[in-house]
Amino acid sequence: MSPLVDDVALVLAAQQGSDAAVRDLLAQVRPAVLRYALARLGRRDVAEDVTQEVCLAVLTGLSRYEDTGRPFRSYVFAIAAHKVADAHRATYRGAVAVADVPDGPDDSPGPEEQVLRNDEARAAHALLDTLPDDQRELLLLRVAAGLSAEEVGAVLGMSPGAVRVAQHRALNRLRAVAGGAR
Amino acid sequence: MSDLEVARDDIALSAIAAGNAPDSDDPTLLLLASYRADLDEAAAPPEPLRVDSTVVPLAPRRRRATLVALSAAAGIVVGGLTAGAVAVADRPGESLYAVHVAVFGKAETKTSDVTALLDQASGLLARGDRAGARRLLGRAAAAIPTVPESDRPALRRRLDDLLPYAAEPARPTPRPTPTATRATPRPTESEDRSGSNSGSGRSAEPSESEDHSGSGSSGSGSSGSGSSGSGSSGTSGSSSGSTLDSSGSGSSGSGSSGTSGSGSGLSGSDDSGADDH
Repeated sequence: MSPLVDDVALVLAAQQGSDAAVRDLLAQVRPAVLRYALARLGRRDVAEDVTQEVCLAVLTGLSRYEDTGRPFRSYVFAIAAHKVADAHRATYRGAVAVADVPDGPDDSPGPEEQVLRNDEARAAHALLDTLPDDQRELLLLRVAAGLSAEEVGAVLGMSPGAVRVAQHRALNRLRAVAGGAR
Repeated sequence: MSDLEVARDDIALSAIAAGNAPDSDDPTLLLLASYRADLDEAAAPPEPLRVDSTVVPLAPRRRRATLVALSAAAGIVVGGLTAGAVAVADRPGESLYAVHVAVFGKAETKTSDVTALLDQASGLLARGDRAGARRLLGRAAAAIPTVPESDRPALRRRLDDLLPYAAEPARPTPRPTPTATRATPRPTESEDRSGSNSGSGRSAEPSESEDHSGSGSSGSGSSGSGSSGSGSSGTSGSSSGSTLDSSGSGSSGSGSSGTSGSGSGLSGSDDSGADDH
């Protein structure tokens, strides 16, 4: 699954002005960014806005992006991590737009329920929330964004080996919490 | 912590990262895989509707019938109050909406209908049917002014997201002035506005191509050559400009003119856009 398009060729074509390449690039980037944003933000509306912002920022920076051995998806998720952090601050620090408050009782499912449909996923979300931020971020880049250990390393400034060790520790921590809850 | 355990976890996480089930019976890994599967579902372009298909066709119709009765009653009971709303009764959707708000203080929820249109458009885009997607997006654009105001920005944004994908590919050279007369001033306009933030002033009255000048600027700024960026965003800009036109002028006859307006706008971009697929 996840047949990775040849990032380098596609990015090059996009830089050279191929509309089709830009679209293919966005089509590839977008679902992964949205998954990550949904996982980090838990709200579809905010996550979609952030995803749009990330896509625009990716395109804006495309001409400056040089393939210096840093994988393209690391470049994308370095942007995504910043945008999500901004949105998280804006959304959860009491800066929720007034327009988001419904006029009357709202019988639609809550934001988290809209994003996560099954109990296991909600449990996973809650479990991940017990992790320290850096471990959680690392696992979300792997699980939600779908990056490789190498790509995560390039986002977080770690060696791939350090990523592998850190993700193992994070998983063990989750196992301990899950085991304790059982 | 052994190297073997580290490697085993990495292999399992790589499987999950690729969207596959890990070859493991570790409950924590399986939980994470389930999480990812749910996120995949949530992020898939043809989103499964929250409004499930068994409910969609029935509920709105029933609600609308109730609403007709209610609005008739409202006209009598609170005639003075709702006079303004009833005065626009030649636009059924909106007058009902206004009456409903006047009586109940709560908007009629048609947001899900528009969401469904956008979802369907996403589905068509995923299957490569751009023309079909443009038709649905045109209808969505026309319908947006009739949903509760607080929901409009999100819907517009979503529409904006989809429009670039629905645009026919443009030539990577700067376009000559579009043949459609209404589109003539637009290229300069969108250049003038290219600095404007795409997020600003969206809900009040969407002016022509305001949002897409945002994406236009980033498009042209992005890809070094600039030609493709402005080419593609020009296409989507002109199409969205017209669709947003229709939604902006939606307060007066959004239904029909909106749809046809966006149709012509979009076909305008068809003319100028080269189909290199």
